[in-house]
Amino acid sequence: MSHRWGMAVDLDRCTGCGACVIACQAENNVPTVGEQAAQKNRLMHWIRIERYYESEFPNPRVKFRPVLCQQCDNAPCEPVCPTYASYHTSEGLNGQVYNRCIGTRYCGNACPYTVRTFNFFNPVWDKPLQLQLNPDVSVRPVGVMEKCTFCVQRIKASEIQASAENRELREGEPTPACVESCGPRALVFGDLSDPDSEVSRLARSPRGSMLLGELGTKPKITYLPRESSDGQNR
Amino acid sequence: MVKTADEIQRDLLRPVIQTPRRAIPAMVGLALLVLVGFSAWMYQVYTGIGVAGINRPVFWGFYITNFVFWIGISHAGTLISAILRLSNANWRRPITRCAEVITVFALLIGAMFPLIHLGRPWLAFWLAPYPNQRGLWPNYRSPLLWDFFAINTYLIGSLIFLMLPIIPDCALLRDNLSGWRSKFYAVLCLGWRGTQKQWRQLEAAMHIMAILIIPVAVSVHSIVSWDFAMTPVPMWHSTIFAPYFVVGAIFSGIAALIIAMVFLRSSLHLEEYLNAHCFDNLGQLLLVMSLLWLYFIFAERLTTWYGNSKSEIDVLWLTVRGPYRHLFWVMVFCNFVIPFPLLAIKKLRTITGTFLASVMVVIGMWIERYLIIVPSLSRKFLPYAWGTYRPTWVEITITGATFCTMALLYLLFSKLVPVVSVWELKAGLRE
Amino acid sequence: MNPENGVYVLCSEPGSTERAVSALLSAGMSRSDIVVISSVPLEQYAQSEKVRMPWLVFAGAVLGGIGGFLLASVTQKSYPITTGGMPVVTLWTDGIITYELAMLGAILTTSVVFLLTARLPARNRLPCDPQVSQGKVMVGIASAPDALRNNIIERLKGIGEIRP
Repeated sequence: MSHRWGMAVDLDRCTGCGACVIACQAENNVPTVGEQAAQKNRLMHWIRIERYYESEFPNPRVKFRPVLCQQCDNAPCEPVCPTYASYHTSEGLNGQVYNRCIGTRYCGNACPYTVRTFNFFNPVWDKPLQLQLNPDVSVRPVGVMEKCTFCVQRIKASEIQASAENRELREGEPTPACVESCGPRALVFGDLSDPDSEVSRLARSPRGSMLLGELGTKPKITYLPRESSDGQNR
Repeated sequence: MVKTADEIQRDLLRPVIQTPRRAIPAMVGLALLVLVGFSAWMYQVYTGIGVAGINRPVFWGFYITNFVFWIGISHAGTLISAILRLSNANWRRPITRCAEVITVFALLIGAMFPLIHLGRPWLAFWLAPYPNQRGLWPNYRSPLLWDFFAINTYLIGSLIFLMLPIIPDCALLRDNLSGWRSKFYAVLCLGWRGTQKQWRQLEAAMHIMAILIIPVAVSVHSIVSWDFAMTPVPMWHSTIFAPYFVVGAIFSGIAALIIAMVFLRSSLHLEEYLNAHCFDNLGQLLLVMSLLWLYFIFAERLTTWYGNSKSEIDVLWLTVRGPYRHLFWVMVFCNFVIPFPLLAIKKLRTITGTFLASVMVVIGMWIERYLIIVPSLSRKFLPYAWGTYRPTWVEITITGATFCTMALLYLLFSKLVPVVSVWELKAGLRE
Repeated sequence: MNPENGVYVLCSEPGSTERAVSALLSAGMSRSDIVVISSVPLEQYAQSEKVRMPWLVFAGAVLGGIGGFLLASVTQKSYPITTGGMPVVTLWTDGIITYELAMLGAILTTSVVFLLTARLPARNRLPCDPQVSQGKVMVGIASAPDALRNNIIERLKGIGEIRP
């Protein structure tokens, strides 16, 4: 059965704790760029929590929105890559092949969500932090673009395990690192081609909307905005 | 004063036969500056592209500005030379080679910038289609591939367009020099004799090249503009970009040509050849292009303002009222407000007037490229992805070095080959 | 063809070129055998030369265009990779590559045809006289048949210096 991986983010549950950011960084060997690079807008988080205040103290009405690669079906970042480093996989993911990337950064410009990050220098892990690197994920050198892959290494590992055990994938496997770390279970991951999966159910919810959906990128992450106590979506 | 053929030949071959005294220190000085720029680039390759000021979201900055700028300058040669040749305008005769040379060198410099801006420039050859063990070919959907083909085609075309009329002049130099220099030009002219058959074929080839090079030039800058227009970035995703960029390219190209001609005039004593009449005509062309440029800028911004789409209006106001407003108004002054009276009023359209206007235009057009690229990237759709850009010393050094490279290449060329086409001027006398 | 077989006259005055050409014609030489060497193109003598270039250039453009289209579409199909919701073979973009390579084909054909028809790089069967660069015109025959040689030299004598 061919899968179509997607995600649903329930903004009603998101507390903005940032555990997903840390988990992603740990799982995917995302470099920490340091204070100077952070000041120069060179952060490399594959997922970020956008925090918006709607009004002033004492009731600022904070809203959090985790933004990660939307794995668009009509991804604007894919046709512009001259070396096919950014392409669409058969399972609906936007794949990034680090070995093909020559660093034109065209995809970074084309992405309307600006979820793509770039290795401006060779990443450095001060000893002994290099021991924490995940051996399942390659470390990217200077000049290579990277972004959220829906933890494709975990997806592949689950698929291989399932086919070795001669069974289908179960609900809840695979689980990307961000989804696994989310305490309130705001992030839900699963197979959109299975109409009974939780993510498909949430994607069909009347609360659901796509981020920048009007651009026609056909993202595969459905955001469910919070409902306040009076039933309004605010 | 009408000169005889012999006087023309003597005047125009003189800079090649004798080296003006100031040329050597000038060449050495320029070469040193070019070396400094090259070292800055090597430092960047060694340390990482991060020594430039680019960041997320402004992934393209000075280097791509320079790329578009220099490719734009390269439109001078073809459009002046080709269109004037086809329309048989006699005043083109002294300026065609100056223009064609600008094209070739500007293309060479402009084509360096995609290499300079890459994160992994040692893999740039992957843009070329060649069979490899991965079975992978380049992605022809990417405008960068269209750039690769278009710029290469244009480079080969303009080189041929430049070299064809040089052949008879090389024969002239073979006959007027002695020793190893004569042998050098004998090789360069490919054994040209000047039979009528050869002249006929040469003129036919030049005529066809003039016809071919115009659509190539138009396609090159359209494709460069599509590097931007093929993305959903606010104020980039505009259908007007292709003609807008082509017009801007011709505009900046003519200005660069005028500047080059002014320097050649004084340093090589070509006052009677690159005379006020040429500058008057070029000044009028520059005026037309200035008006066309204004038309395109207005059309683009009117559509944006009227449409009032959130992200586009943000970028528009950023440029006109926000942090980029100083650059914006400098650009408008340099591209239109100052050149317009200088070029429209006949009394002011002197050599000095056109030179001043051209310098303004070159500055203004560089700023225009910068304002197309950076404000849009700094303010895309999501507020957490907004950013700013500041160039570093590496980018500034390399930018400055490319201007020195252009000057150096031009100087070297004027030493090797007469910068005004001798046989074409002599042929013009007969008409 | 031996370059020493050629007979040429250097014409310095205006009008002497025309006299030299008529002299050669009256000596029995055909128009296409007469060689006129000058440092600028002389329209009245150059116009008779045939130019087949435009058709060849068009053929070059067609070949280049076909090559470009095949390059883009065949390689896209050989390793089909989906990008951005677009089909595997994108005709719009392949069209751009087709156009560029068509123009390149035309450009290269122009230069090759020029080199071939102008016989460049030349093996120098024709004489080279620096005085041509000073504005003189050299008129003559590349290879004069031995029988007519003296006749030709006689007719050209008054017009200018004889070469060789």
